[in-house]
Amino acid sequence: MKKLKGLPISPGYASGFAFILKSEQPVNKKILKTSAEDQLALLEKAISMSKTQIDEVMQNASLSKTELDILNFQKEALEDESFIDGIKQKIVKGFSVEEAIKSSFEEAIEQLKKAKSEYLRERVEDLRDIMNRLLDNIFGKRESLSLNEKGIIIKDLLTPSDFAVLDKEKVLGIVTREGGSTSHVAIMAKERGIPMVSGVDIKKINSGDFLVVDGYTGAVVVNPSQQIIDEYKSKAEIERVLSVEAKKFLGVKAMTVDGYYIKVEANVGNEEDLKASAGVKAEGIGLLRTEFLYFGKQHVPTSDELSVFLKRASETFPGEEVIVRTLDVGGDKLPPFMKFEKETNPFLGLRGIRLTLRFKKILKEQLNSILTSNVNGNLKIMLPMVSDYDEVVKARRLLKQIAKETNQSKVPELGIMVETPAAAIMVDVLSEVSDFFSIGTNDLTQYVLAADRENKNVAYLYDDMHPAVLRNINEVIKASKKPVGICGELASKPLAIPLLVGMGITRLSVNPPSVLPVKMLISKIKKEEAEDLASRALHMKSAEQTKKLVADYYKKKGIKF
Amino acid sequence: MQSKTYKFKTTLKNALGLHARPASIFVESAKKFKSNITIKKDGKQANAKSIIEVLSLGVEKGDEIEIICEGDDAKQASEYIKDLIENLSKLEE
Repeated sequence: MKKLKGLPISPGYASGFAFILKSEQPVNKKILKTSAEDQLALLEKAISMSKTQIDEVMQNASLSKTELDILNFQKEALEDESFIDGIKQKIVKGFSVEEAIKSSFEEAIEQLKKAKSEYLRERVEDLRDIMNRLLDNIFGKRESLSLNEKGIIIKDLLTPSDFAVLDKEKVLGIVTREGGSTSHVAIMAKERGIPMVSGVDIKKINSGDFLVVDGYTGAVVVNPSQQIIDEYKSKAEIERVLSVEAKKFLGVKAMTVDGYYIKVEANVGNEEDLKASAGVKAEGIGLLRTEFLYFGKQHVPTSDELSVFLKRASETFPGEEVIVRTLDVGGDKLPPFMKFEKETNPFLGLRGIRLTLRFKKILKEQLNSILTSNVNGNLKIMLPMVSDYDEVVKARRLLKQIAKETNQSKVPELGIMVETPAAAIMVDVLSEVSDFFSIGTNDLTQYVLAADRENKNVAYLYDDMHPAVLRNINEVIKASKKPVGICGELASKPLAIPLLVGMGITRLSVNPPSVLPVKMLISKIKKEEAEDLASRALHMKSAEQTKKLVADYYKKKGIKF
Repeated sequence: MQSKTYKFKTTLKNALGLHARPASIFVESAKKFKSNITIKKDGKQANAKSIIEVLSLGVEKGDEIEIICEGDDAKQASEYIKDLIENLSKLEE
C-alpha cells in the first residue's frame, strides 16, 4: 500500500484499476532539416490534420458547452492566418518547422500569462494543447485514449481535447501529474461528476494497480488495505445515498421531524434557471432576478420586451408565488443605456430602488410589465436595497398609478428585500407598507459586517454565519408583522438551515440544484431542537463558533450532510 | 486607388471585454473587410483579424482602445466595428 498526495481538483470518490495512458513513441523522431518549402508543407499538413481531428471530435462526441467552447477556440487559433503567417515567416527565415511553431506559441503564451483576467490565463492551456497537437501531427505521434473497460485514468497531463475524446462512461476517476483546479479539464471533470486529483507523482503507479481516489482531499491510495477500501466505499455510499435520497423530495413538501412545513422555492436569474426550477418542482420563485433583461440593451427595455420572460415565469408556476425583484444595479455595473457620474463607493451609492426611483422610466416600464404579464395572478414585486420607509411609499404610489392607467383592478403584492441593516432594524415599521419580506443575506452580510467579500484585504471578515448577521436575521423574523423568507446564499447552507428553522423561518429560496438537498435536510431536523440551537448561536462569539455548534449537532444526531 | 484611413477611440463597456465569445465575433467581423484593421491599447497593438493577437492584447471592460482601419473599405469597416463594440454586451446574455 502506498499513499500519494495530490491536489483535489474535482470532488467525489473513485475506486478502480489504474489505466496508464502513455503516449506512443513518435514515428519520426527528428524531422530532417529540409528546404523551407518542405517545412512549410509539413506545417500546412499538420494544420489541416489538426483541424480535421478537432472537427471529428466535435461531430462524434457528445460535448458539454465548456467542451465545445474550448474546441471552438482551438479551431479559431488554427484558422488565425495572421498568427500562422508568423510561423511561416520564421520558417522562411531558416527556423525548422518545430522551432517556428514553438517560438510563435511561446510568444503568445508569454503575453497571455501576463493578462489580468483569469479567462485569458486559462487560454494558455488551450494554446499549449493546440501546439502539442500540431507537433504530434508533424512527428506522426498518436495517442491512444481508448479504454477497454472502466477504470481510473493516469496521465502526465490531460488536455481539454483529450478529455473531450474520452469515453466518459468508462472513466471512474482521473489522476494526473500536471494541471490546476482552474484548468479546463477541472471544470469539465466537475461538470461530468468525475473525481479528479492532480499534482500526483504518477511514476509510483503501475498499470493494473487498484486505486482509491479522494477528490475532496487529493489523496490517492495505491493498492490500499481492505480497511481503507471499505472506508472509502462507505464514504462513497453516503454520498450516493444522499443524492438518491434528495431525489425522493421531488414534489414532496419539506416537513421537520416534528411536523413544521418549510416552503422551498427557487432563485431564478435566466431562462435556464427557470427550466431547472421547474425540473426540481420548486414551490414557486422566491427571487426572480431581472438584470439579464437589461444588460446589453441600448435603451430602457419596454414593458413589452420584459413581459415575454415574466409571462413565462408566471405560467411556469401556476398557483405558486413568483417574486419579481425590480432592477438591482448600481454604479459598479450599469446597463449600456445608463450613465451617471462615477461614484467613489457604488455599494453605498445609487443602486437598487434608489436608482430606479431616480430614473423612473425604468421602474415604470418594469411595474407596467409585471402588471400586464401577471397571467396567473401569481406575480409579486420586491424592491431591492430599501433603506427608507419613503422609498416603499413612493414605489407603491407609482404601482397604484400604473395599475389605474392600465385598468388593472388587482394590484400585486409589494414586498421588500431586506439587505440593509436599516431595513432589518426597521422591519416592524416597514411592515405597514410592505406585504412581505425576503432577506438577501449576501448584501446584508456585507453591510452588517462592513466588509466587501471581493476585497482580498477584508474578505476574511465576510461570513454570513457571523452571529452579527444571524442576530439581524432573527430580529427581522421576530419583529416582522408580515411573512418573511430568505433568498440569499445562506438559505442553502447545511450549517445554517437548522438555525434559520429554529428562528422560525417558513420560506427559503435557493438555487435550483439546492432545492432537493435543502428539503432533505429540513426533513431531518426537529424544530424544537433547532430553536434551542438558534438561541445558542445568537450568543456565539464568531462565525467559526456558530458553524461548530451546528456541525456538532449534526454529528450528535447522526445527520449526514 | 488611394487607400484611406479611418480611426476612432472607444471604451469597452461590455462585462467580458474582448474575451471569449465577444472576441471571436469581433475577429470574425474584422475578417469580413479587406482593410487592415488594428487595435491599439496602451501603446501595444494587435491585428484585429487575429484571435490570438486580440486576446493577447488583454482588452478588459473599461479599457480605452483605438481602432484603425486602412484600405478601400475602411469607412465601412470603421462604422461596422464601432457599432459592434457598442453592442458587444448583447452577446453576453
